[in-house]
Amino acid sequence: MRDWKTAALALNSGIPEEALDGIGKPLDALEAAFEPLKKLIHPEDEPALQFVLDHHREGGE
Amino acid sequence: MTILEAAAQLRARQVSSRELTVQCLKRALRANQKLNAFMALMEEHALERAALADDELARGIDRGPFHGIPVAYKDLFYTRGVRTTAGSKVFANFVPAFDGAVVEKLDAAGAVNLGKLGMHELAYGVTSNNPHYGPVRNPWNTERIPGGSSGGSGAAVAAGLAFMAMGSDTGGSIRIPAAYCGTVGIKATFGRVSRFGCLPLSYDLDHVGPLNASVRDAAITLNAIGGYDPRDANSSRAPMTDFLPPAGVSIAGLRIGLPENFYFERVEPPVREAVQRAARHAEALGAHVVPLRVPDPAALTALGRVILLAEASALYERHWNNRHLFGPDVLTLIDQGRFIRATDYLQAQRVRRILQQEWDTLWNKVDCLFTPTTPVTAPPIGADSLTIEGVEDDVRLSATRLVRGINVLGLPALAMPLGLAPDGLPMSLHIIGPAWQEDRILRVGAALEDTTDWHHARPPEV
Repeated sequence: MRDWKTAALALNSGIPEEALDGIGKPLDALEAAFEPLKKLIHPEDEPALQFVLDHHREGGE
Repeated sequence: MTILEAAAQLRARQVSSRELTVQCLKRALRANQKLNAFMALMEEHALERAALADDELARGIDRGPFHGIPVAYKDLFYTRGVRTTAGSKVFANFVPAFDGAVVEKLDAAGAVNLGKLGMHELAYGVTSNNPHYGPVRNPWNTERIPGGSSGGSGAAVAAGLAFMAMGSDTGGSIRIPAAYCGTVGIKATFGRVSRFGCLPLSYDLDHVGPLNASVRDAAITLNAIGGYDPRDANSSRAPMTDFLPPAGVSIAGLRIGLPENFYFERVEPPVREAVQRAARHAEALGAHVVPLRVPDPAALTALGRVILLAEASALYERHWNNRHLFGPDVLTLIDQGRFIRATDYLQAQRVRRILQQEWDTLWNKVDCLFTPTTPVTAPPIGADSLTIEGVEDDVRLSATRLVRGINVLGLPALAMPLGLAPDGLPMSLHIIGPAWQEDRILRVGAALEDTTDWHHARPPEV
């Protein structure tokens, strides 16, 4: 579990302290569900993101 | 009345577009006092469009099944010259200079735009209990939420205020209101329907799609709005097909997967039994029901939340310090997203691809999956939590638990009515298919619809 209040201060987030009370619990729960999934990743696994250059467009001069 | 029925009556000169439009407007004006489904009714524009549609039909110009049909749009679709708020203060004065792709396509197909529909603020939630524009209410019970974020779309179709209402779905926002309001809703494969001119929440989870009164109406809507659009970076060139299932469609021999894990856990017994009944009914129609385990849906949900939190907060970064612009629940989510690390976002996208590949192999065993759309019927307005089989759950997390993962996979999914629960509220079947096989899930839905009366239930007059 992370210390969200310290993290918020370090980020200079400007999030009021009372608002931080409401975000720690759901983030902790999400982190608990998400962290173990990282073990599935192998070095060759690429993210499901795309950056595709249109081959019809000419580059350069 | 469905779109296909209205279209037949229009061509038989039994009714005019003007009559249909006036009827919808009158109902909307009356019902809106209770439902708050419409943000804005465009009466003058609608009547002009209806007159044009009638005139064209009289002159033999026929633009297809949407010609002269009154429809409406969630208030995040760009409508030229008409305020588009996304249910938010951020866009309170935003007037687009052009129409969104789906508005443009349905306009060209002769549809009559009645107006803009209420929604959860910024499409970032499931209740449509909007802090700026008031709660949208469920026509089945006005003390219940219609679901969201396309809550106005669900309420409008269920109450017969529009023949079709366009919605968007980032983590269930078409299918949840379809479930809670007892309508059909379809989220096509990611890339099938252009998102151009739809205010975004997430770059790779947002889907555009309709809420309808019948499965065949959903099919013809997909026919009208699908297809490649170069203005949407994720639009696909996958070939379009005619999605309309034929009369007497058969599902004999089709393999229907019934998940043994996750999808029937923490689900209200009447909903669970109704889905199992639907599977038995499909079996009676000649389909084979295959019990099987599906690859880690809970993991998909966690990935979806990491990705959405990061992307939505990035999208609204310029407003992080304008905290007064947001309602409390949306502000909390935007705050949460600021703590998602870039490395975690990328790891989520890597695991996403791994799970996508695992799900691909599932389709060697079955042709589609049957699951509940939501674990419960529509919760009360204002409730933050609910109890399912003695376990307390968050209203938002409960509503999205069975549907969010499908956005992460980008797969097509259909929500359709499954009759009423003992509390008198609609239950819903979720049919999930392989990528680009919308025609398959629509065929299954149509076969069920043709042989049951689940979709005949109507809410009380409001």
